[in-house]
Amino acid sequence: MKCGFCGREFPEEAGYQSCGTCPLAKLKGNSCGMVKCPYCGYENPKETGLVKKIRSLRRKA
Amino acid sequence: MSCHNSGPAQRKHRHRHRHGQHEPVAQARGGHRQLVLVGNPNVGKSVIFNALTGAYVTVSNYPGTTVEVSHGHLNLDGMVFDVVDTPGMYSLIPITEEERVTRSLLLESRPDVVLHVVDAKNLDRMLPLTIQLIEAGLPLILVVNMLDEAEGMGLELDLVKLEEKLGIPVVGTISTQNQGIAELKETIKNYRPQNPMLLADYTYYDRQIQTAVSDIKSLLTKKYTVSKETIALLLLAEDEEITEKIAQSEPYFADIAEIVAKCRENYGQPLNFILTMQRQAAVNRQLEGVVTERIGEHRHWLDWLNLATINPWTGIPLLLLVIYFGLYKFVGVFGAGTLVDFIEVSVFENFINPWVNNVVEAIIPWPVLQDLFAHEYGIITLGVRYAIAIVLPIVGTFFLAFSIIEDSGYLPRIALLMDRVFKKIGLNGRAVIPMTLGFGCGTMATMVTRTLETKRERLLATILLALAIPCSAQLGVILALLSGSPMALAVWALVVAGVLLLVGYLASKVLPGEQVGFSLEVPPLRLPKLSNVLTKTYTRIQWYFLEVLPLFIVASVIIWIAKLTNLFDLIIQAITPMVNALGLPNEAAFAFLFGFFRRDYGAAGLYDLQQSGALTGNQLLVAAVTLTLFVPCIAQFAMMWKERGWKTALAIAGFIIPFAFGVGFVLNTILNALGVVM
Repeated sequence: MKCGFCGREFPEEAGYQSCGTCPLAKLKGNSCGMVKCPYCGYENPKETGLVKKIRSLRRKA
Repeated sequence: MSCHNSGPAQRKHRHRHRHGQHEPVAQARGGHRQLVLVGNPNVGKSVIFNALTGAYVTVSNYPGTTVEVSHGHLNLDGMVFDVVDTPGMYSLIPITEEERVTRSLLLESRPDVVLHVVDAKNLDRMLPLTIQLIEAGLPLILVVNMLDEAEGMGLELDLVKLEEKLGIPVVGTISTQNQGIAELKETIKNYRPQNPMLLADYTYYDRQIQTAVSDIKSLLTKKYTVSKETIALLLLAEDEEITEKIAQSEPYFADIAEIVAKCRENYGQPLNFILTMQRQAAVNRQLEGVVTERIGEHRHWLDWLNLATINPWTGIPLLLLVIYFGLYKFVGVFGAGTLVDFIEVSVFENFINPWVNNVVEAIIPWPVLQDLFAHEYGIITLGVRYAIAIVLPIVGTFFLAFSIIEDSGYLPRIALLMDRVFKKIGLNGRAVIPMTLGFGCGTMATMVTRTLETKRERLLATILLALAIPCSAQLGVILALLSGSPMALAVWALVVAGVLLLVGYLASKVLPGEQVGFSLEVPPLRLPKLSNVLTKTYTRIQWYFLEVLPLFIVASVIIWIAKLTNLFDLIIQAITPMVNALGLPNEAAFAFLFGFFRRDYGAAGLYDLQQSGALTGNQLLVAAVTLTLFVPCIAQFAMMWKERGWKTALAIAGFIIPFAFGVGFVLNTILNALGVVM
């Protein structure tokens, strides 16, 4: 995914690297809905299931 | 990277690398040669890979990882290459697993040719990696791709001059049209490793770095697959993986670590930052006379806008315009005014709340239990109403405006613009990231302060986030409260901004430590894409709503319990004298109590008071200022505790609560003394 701040691209999984140290992650089971850019630290909203589904349908079409 | 002792086999191998400079690679090795493509994401690497290799491509995971690497073959008149397309990388110092894999491929697989593919439009951003690859002693060809797009932007590139300056082959391509691919194949076929002119003496690094590199190099006893200069530079940049490997393999590692530590002492900033800046300065010098811009010709209006957003003389008025239309008009007047009025009054007050009250009273015979769900502080009539009727329309319009700004690439430009202001308060433009996120949610933003480079900056940013940065919902509700009186809104903005600057300035003077520099790669300004904007807005609203609704419900339940046990009244009684000192009525104490659960919950409480006509214009302004500066919500406080420790968290809260009431008191006194009526 592309960071909304620095414009760099990174795999979504890389955005969860720092979740282990976040107290909110323990409370919510890593589901705060944010993906942190590993380059600049900006928190980007994670695409929801619905959006991913629409994207995949558009790709198929 | 791998290191090894120089046994006979290795010596023979290295001999080819070092002294085979006039011998074509094709003759130098038997069997298949290896060609590796590297570069930033989205520079057309894969298109070039496909153009070189054709249809037969295998994709496999790099050993021990989930990162995919594509392999293919290139046959140049019988000279066969194994071609590897690597994941995108920005620097030789990896951040992501993909970059780690690419570095391993580069440093450990001993490629015969490396193609560094760059975007012709952004050579200044791409060439620092070229320099690192040259420093590593890799057999490099620079492929300047997307020449057509650069041409369209009015850029003229002198690739012959660039080749002369860098001392490596440079080929221009338009990979999507297959242009330049034949020349590239010819260059690969005839490629001979050579000593790049650029690296004659590393003079683009300052004297202290050069000395440190030279000293470290002299202590490295093993043989490496990359230059010792690169090992020394990676050690200076404190690359964890390399440092660990060198610590295990080099007998003089303690001395090396001492050189690194001594070198670090010469600078106020991390060495990696210093190296990056000096490398970038070298790139800028290399590009003098290489890239020329045809001024006025073909220049896109976005290029003009780009310059205008960064220049303080035009950038600040533009920023004010964005705030006026994006925040005040769209969020404050439309979202918090029109939309909230409709949902709150027309839907909830006229239909939902009376209906809920009737249904609850009909189903539940006990008034105490009825109050849990309905009436003044019920879960549905208060908690759900606040979340859906007041906060949601405001947050929705705020996130829509924010997503447009974000998708246009404007945020990093605000960071550059704010760098000068932030320096006055002990921070730099990098702090724009947590500060911007603070306008979304202070809790998340407090966590993000850990991306700031020094402890001092992290502490300063945490204090300012807790004190003077309202979260999106709180900001929206306050805009709604004050949008009827632009004068009151202007005074609120001035007081909050004044507090931010004053406290930041004073705190930066009190807290020890040095100022850290700031560099930022600014991505191109672009027209926001509707699909991106809608996706981001929807995602943020969903995130916020899932976050806020349970908390609003919990807060309603706590208030209900507190009311039952009279605890509520006791707390209200304790707060009331302070609230009265601000010139506010007793009812305003509820808003402050709500505010501790969530800032926006408190602001929504003020909104209710204003709707019922319980506050005058002056009282509304004083309450809005005090509530903005007031103690952060429970979640943000917990995050401060976690990130900065309990002593700091308590100290910050201990400072903020009396300070917020103090500012409210002074503001009320001044308004009364001057006889100002809002």
